[in-house]
Amino acid sequence: MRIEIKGLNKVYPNGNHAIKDINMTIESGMFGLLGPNGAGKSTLMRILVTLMKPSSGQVLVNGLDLMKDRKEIRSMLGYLPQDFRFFTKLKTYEFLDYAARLAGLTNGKSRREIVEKMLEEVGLYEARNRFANNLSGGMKRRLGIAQALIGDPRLIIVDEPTTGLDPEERIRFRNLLTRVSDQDVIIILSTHIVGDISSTCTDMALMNKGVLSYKGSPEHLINLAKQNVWKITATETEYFEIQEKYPIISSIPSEEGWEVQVVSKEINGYLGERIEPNLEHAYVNFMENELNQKWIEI
Amino acid sequence: MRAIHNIIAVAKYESITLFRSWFFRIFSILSLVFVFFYNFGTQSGVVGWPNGDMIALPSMIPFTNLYIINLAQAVIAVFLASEFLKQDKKLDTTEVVYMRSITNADYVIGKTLGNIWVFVMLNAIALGMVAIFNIASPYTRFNFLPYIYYFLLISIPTLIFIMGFSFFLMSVIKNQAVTFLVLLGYIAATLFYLQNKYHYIFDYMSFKLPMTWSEMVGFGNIKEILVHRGIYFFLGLGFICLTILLLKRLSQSRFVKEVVMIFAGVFIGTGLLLGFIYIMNINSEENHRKEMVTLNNNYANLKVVQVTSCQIELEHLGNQISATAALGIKNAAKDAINEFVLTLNPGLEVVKLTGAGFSRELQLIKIKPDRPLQPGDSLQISIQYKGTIDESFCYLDQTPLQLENWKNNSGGVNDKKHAFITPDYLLLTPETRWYPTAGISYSSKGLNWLATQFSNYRLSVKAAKGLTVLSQGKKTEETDGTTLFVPEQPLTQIAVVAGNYQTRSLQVDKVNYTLSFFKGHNRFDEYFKVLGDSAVPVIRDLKKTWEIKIRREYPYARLQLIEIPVQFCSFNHAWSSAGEQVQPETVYLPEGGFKLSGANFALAKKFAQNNARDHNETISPRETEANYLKRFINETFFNSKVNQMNFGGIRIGGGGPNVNFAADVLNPYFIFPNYYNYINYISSSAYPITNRVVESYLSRSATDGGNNFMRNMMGLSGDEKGNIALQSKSFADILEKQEDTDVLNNVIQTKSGFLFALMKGAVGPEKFEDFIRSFLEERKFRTIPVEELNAEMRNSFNLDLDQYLPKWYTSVALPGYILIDTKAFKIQKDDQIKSVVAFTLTNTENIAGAITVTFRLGGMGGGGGGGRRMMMGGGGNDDNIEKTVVIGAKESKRMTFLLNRDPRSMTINTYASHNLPSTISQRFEKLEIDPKGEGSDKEEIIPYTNGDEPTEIIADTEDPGFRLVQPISKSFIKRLFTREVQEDDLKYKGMNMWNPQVEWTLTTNEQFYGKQIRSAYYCKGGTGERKAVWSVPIKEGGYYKIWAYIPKIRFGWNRDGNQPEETYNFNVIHDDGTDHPILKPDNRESTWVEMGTYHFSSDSARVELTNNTKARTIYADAIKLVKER
Repeated sequence: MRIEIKGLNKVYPNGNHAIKDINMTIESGMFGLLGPNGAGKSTLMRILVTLMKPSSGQVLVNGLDLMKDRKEIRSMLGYLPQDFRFFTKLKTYEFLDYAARLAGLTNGKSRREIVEKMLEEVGLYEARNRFANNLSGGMKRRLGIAQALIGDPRLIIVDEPTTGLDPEERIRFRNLLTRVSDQDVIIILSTHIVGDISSTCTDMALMNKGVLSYKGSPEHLINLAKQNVWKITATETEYFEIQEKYPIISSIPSEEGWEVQVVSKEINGYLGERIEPNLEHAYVNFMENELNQKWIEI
Repeated sequence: MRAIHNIIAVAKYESITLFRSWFFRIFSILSLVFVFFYNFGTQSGVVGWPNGDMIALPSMIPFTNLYIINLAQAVIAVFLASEFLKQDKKLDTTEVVYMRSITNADYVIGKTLGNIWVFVMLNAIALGMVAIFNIASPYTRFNFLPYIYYFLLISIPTLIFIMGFSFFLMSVIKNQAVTFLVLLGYIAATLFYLQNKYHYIFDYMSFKLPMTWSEMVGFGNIKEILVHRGIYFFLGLGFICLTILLLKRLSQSRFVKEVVMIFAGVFIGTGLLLGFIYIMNINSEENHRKEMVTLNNNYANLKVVQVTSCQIELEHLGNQISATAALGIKNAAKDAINEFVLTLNPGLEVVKLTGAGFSRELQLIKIKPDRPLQPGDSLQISIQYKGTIDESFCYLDQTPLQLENWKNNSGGVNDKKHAFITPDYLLLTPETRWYPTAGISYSSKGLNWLATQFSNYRLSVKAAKGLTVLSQGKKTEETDGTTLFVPEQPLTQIAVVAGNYQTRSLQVDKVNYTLSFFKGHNRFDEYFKVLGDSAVPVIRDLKKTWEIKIRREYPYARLQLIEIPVQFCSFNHAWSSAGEQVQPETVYLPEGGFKLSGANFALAKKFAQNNARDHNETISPRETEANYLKRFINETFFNSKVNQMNFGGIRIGGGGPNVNFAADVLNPYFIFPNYYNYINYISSSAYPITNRVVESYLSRSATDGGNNFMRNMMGLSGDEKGNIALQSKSFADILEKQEDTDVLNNVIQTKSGFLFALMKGAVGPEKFEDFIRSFLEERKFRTIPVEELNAEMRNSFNLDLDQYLPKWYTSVALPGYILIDTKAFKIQKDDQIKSVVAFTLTNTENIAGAITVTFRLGGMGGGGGGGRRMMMGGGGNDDNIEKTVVIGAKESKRMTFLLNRDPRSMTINTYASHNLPSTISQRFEKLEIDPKGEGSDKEEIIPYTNGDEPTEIIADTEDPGFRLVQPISKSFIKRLFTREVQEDDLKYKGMNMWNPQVEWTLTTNEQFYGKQIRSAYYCKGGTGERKAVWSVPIKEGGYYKIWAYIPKIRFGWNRDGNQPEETYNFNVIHDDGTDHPILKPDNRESTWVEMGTYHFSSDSARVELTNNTKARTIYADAIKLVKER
């Protein structure tokens, strides 16, 4: 699978330029899309799932044009929208069956087996006769993932999938996606939660204010942050000064006062040491220090 | 295939979602519960009353039920359609559907089908329930077909349209609340305002659209129905296609989009085209009718030949007829005839005509004899023709508006038909001119066309195999399958019917009675199990009673009652009260007795059972059955009018309380034409209406006087409407202009009454009655020139009609009467107690007048028994004495009548006069013996008096000093949706006692004060926001005693007219301030009630009546002032 995005723009009727001139290629595997709120992630995803028309540019999915070959592209899609909470008056099983039918599973018997299997995989088999609206938040999310995965889609797009999930559920979800990504599929995972990407994605992009700011591996992004992540031990007074000067990743109270992690090229006189960055540090480092460098290509 | 899979997937889950919505569930359950109780009440036999319509016409069962369901589902569909699209906008769940590989068409079609499926199920459940009631009903038959037909024709197009339209509007307006308001507004407009306007074109729910299904012939107007329902079906599909195109989702397939665009165009185009065809059909019919009238007008003055004999050979060929008519023609005129016309239905094509030259134009056959027909000459012609009946030719005298009113108003069946030619059924009546007749059928120019001819008919009919043929005359079935009819007498017309009939017959004295009903429609055996031969004396008695009343004898050897399809109808012509349902020796009855109140035997049985139980009486089954029969015969054949209460039934139609609430409709089954119209005809070239006037007189003498209750409901009686028309125009003018049939009928009725009162006054009532009857009896089955009548009257009474007729016909002046000083007492005379009634009658006008005074004898009893009699139809002859009084111009007479028994009441009919109401009634309580009293029948001219007391000042509501304080009560919306008041131009409105008018409403009643016009304003009791104000002019200041006239109105169920806490709150504005006298009406009669004595110094005294009362209604009538000495 391969998605080529060329010169993609979206300008809303109110003049808001939601995404600007995006060019990138996404290959099979898990692809993470990271960026602050309003960065244009959701717009990009809605364009990719054919819910929205771009203002200009081209998207090719396995060589098929998103604007012209919607039928074929839609038959490859699985999608979990960001705010997937409200259901019509359908039961869990019925909702998934509806999705399965629309995903092209025409054979009744095999569809039933697939739906049941999927319900088991997402741990909703016991709740299959409950109204979807009455499920807990996590269960609703799982049902959302199940409907996105049903019918073996080859392009799966999930928008903020782990929001509201407890850690255990989040891990289960990651594992489920990872398992699917073994096949020749693209999974695009849009999130604020950096941890979701670091643990699953081999490739990622970072968007800010509608612009694609980074495209590459998570490791490279981490490398960019090396030398720039510090752990400072600070007194109460210093802690307040540091807050003013540097972006703080974490702060833990200690016997001496505070143990603070910051992203910065130097720490000018504070007592501290460099530490190994993770993706979260890398993300903050990138947003703080690198964003002015226009485009980083590996 | 994938598309079908997708559509089914969307439809399945859409229907599940809809089915689970609470809104749908609540609404559906409510409608099902309603349907259940409606049917339980009308069909189960356990509770409620058997519904006559449903018994007569089983198709009414699914029909009425589908109306209920359809109304409910139209509203639910709108709610849901807008609800679903709103959900679509809001929920992310929709996005996971939208990104799937389905086309927009799959999605919208699936959604629509899912919704429709649930509604179809709702219909199926409701209809299934109805069907179970129907099958189990002890009253009626079950017929499956109309269930299917009505479902397909009512529900499906309605659902497709309203859903398509709602989806479309939601897509365009994009605001649920606004869409919803627009849609509900649209529904309300079609239901309450547009209704049947513009030929039902806006009636998407087919709430008013005529759709009666007969078991005899199916739908009468299937083409019209299909076109109409097609309009909405295709527009609905078109809107669904537009919704697909407008769906806020990126389309998946350009090809599908283009196909949908084409379909949208085709569907909307088809819908509009059908609408165009629908309108065009109506317009072209109107134009066609105009053409025919114009053509007739061209021949309006052409001499008319006499058809002496008419021999018709008719063959029924499926949807057509083929016939040959051999006509014997005679020139009965005084001049030679070079050319004449015959009328034949324009749908029938003349194949061949022998005996003369001819040309055909529309309905006319123009005949040119080889040589001119000299007076008395005869000619034989034979016309062979073929085709079908063009019904637009019928009733050319009716304007489009009248036809529309006819269609909308009478009898619950709006798809009215005048003829049937189907492979299984044939019905042809003379109005269609299915055989050629002399002259033209109608012209708007002059009245020469108005003539009846008696001809010797002979009819042979070859109908489709197995059909029974029925017509007039002696019937013989030939071996070759033809049926021959040879009437014993010359007839004015002949009709034919052929169908799958069963006939029962009964010989009573000289008349053979037959009842022919459609096979399977036998509802008689069940209700007449034991009557058997006892029916003979019942029929004999009823006939005898009726013939004593009408003073004529039935002239034929047979009377056939034939059931015909429910859609058949006839409209009233102004020149005859005979409708097409009554033919010589025949009455056509509507299918199953539809809308014949006397034919609901199930109801009669239930009434009888309840009555026996309530009164603890034992009535033998034979007596009960005899009672149903009597009631049926009395109500169906012997009532000239039917009181039609327009409650609207299930179909909404009532309008405001004063709108068309009750109507006096001529009874189309009234047997009278067989006692006059088809036996006698009086011709007059100077007064062509003479025959109709005689007819009106005779038919009126055979029926009881007007129904006061109906009169009060309608505000004016027929006579009064006639009177109003005559105030400014002469009889001749009104006839010449051929005004509204209703007005014409009323004018004819009142003028006829007046003329005959004059005649009776001149020669004596009894003598005149005997004379006119024997005159007509001796001249049966032929045309009587009016000159012959005049000659006979001159011989018998030395009375010249020509002295009366010109003035009666052309003068605008009318008499006006004042009745004063009525006295009634008993006297002892020749050892007997007798009663005397005396009164003074004044004619205030410059033209002589005549009135009749009717005394209802029989002492006390207050006219009781009415209710019971109405139910059981006893209809005994009341003991009435009728006197006629002729009074000169500006003359006063003291009249004294000596009666052998106590009078219960006296009614004076003033006929054509200035009086409103046109009758004056007086009830008499127990009469006292006056020892000094004496009396004999006496008529004495006295000095002219108009009854004015010089000391009294009376202010009436008709006076200029009277005004009302009247806030407008109807809201804008209510006014907008109130149906137009058809009789809005009438000054006096009816009185509705169940739901009195909130606003002051002017009405007339004989209980009101007034010398000639007894009018008053009435309104509902309220809180004092409305006032009636009399400013009474006074010449000099001083103390005045004041009275108010408080009427006592009695209605059927409230004989005493008592109302709870009935008080009249007055304000008297006098010199010392304002006083508030509270008056109570006299419990016995309408009278002056004293208010008190007040001082007034200004030039007028002011008295106000407020509507502040707990009484249901209050009347503002008149105020009287008398100066204290």
